[in-house]
Amino acid sequence: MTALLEIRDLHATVDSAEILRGVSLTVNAGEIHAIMGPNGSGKSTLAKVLAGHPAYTVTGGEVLFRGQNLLELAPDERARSGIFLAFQYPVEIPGVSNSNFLRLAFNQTRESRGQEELDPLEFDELLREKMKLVEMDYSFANRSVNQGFSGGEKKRNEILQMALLEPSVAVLDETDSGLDIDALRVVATAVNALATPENAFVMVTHYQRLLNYIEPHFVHVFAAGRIARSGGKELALELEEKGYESVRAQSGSLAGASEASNG
Amino acid sequence: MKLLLSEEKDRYLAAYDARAAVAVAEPDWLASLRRLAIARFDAVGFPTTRNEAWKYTDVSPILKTEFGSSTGSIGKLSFAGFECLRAPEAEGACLVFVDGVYHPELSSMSGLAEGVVVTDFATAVAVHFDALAVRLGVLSAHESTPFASLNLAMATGGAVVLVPKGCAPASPVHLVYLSGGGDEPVAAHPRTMVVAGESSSLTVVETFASVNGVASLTNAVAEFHVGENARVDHVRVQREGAQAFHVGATAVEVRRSGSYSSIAISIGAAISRHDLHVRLAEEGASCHIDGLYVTEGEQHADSHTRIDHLVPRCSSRQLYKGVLDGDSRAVFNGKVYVHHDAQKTEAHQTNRNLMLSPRARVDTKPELEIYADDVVCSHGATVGALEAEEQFYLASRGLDEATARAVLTYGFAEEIVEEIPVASVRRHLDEVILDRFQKGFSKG
Repeated sequence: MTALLEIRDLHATVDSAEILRGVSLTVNAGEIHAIMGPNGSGKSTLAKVLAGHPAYTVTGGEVLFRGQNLLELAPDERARSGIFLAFQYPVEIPGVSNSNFLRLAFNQTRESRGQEELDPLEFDELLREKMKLVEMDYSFANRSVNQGFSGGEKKRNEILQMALLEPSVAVLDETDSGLDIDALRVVATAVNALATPENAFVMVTHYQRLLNYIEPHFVHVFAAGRIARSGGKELALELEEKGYESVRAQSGSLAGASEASNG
Repeated sequence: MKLLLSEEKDRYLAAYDARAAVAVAEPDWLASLRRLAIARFDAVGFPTTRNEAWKYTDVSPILKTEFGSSTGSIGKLSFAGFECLRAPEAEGACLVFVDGVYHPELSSMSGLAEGVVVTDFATAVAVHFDALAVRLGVLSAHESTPFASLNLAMATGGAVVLVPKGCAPASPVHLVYLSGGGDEPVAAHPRTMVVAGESSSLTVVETFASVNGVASLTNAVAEFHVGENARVDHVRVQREGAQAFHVGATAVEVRRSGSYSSIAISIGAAISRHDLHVRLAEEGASCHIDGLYVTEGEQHADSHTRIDHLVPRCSSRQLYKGVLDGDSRAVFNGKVYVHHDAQKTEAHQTNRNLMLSPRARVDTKPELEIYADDVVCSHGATVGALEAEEQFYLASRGLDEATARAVLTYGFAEEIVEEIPVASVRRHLDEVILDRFQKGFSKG
């Protein structure tokens, strides 16, 4: 079976500084992966590189999505083909209503998948249903995208977009950061509801607590731009206990560990 | 300067004489106003780019075009042809002019509130001269331009709106000025006068649009008298055709605790200029003036504003935004003048420009002149392209580049458009603007 996402020895720079230094990771359908690690270890960079952020330059390695070269696709093409990035800092778009934006994104994605577009009324019905899932008040549909939203509201809006676009691979970039416990529960409930045997989730997170709500199949620890250790969910607990220093001490010789653990 | 454009000027002076020769006898007060105005125009002449206020706007293409006198013909225009321009909210208070000539059969005045007068200029001269004679040309004389003088000398068509003390009509008044009705280029000089009495409140929409693609000159002047404790909302939409020239001036005076809000939209015309001058004349007066100019191709749009804080405790807010594409050019010049005695003034002014093309150009000049010491004032201007982070965000949701740019540009403009208090005008502009941006980007 072809893996959904296959990252092989990925190197990437920003402003000519190398941030990713040989990341390898295989994600199969039905899997939930957690990527942990200290600040500056490159885990958020990986998320942005997968989505095609223009500030990052891939200098080596490859990424296959359903066996196809992902890196040659523009960001919008990646999104329409099924890659989704939930932003750590969602962008505010003044003057554009959330519902119009969501319908546009939804219909462009549907069109590229050869599915029928929904008219405003049909879409509104779907939107209401998905907003319930993330416990968002319907009034947010008519507000400008993310403008004046609290941190938690912005993150819920990200999950709402994910719920509408139904990606194959969703990368959640520190979606849990800055969330209170209620918001965290809402996000986790939504992710659990959306996880199917056909899709996969990659959750970049700083804290173990998210993993109390969303149980990962694999946990990877980033250090110095690559995966230093991989394991099951018990690895997260070990990190909680011993900190990242224990991983750092072992890093350097474990670049291939992730493939060994879930290949 | 005067000599350079004397030939063109002579043509307009001749048009004045021709009009005076055939005009129905006008009352003395009006005739003498006109003589003074044409003399002022004659003395100053048309501006050139050596004139500081017209440094970036060259009017010579306007002057080179030979415009005939307006007959007000509507040619093949049917009533349905411009129905989309009319705001249904103003169904009972809508005046329509074609090349400055009033068309009663296209207008409707059935829904006026008790005591409110909405009428054409000629009727006002005959019937409401007491209100008109003491005010006509008074406000536009401050910071006057040669074009405004010419308007006063030539204006025969236009609208007069009088709202008595305490009156607050629920529906807006809509003044529709159409240009290019005939087959030949004509010049029109429409004149608007609005008098909002004490504690009254009123919404006025002025729409300037073209009937067909023939060249035209609209030289419009409006005067707004905002009485004590009165509130006036003014929406001015200039969306004339690509062959049109538009020169407009709006002069406003606000009395004690009165407020004037305006949204000035400029999307149309080859060359357009709008001068907005607000005098905060008594304590507690305030104004909130917003504007949006959207240009493409070879368009040129010039917005000149001036707010005079004449007395203490007045406030003004201003946000003008511009979206420039192609080889177009825009000018923003906003002066806030805080006079010697105007303590406790609060004035904020912002101009933001979104450049969609490397060839487009904007000259922005926010100016603050402050002669009082106890004031809170700010001003600023920005010129920039679309934010890369915003574009990436939309791309990451599957929007292709052209759509993402259109959405962001629309959002930028929408901050002004969404404030328009008349729903049908707002929706219609929404469509026009979105269509413009989508079209602009599909060109590649």
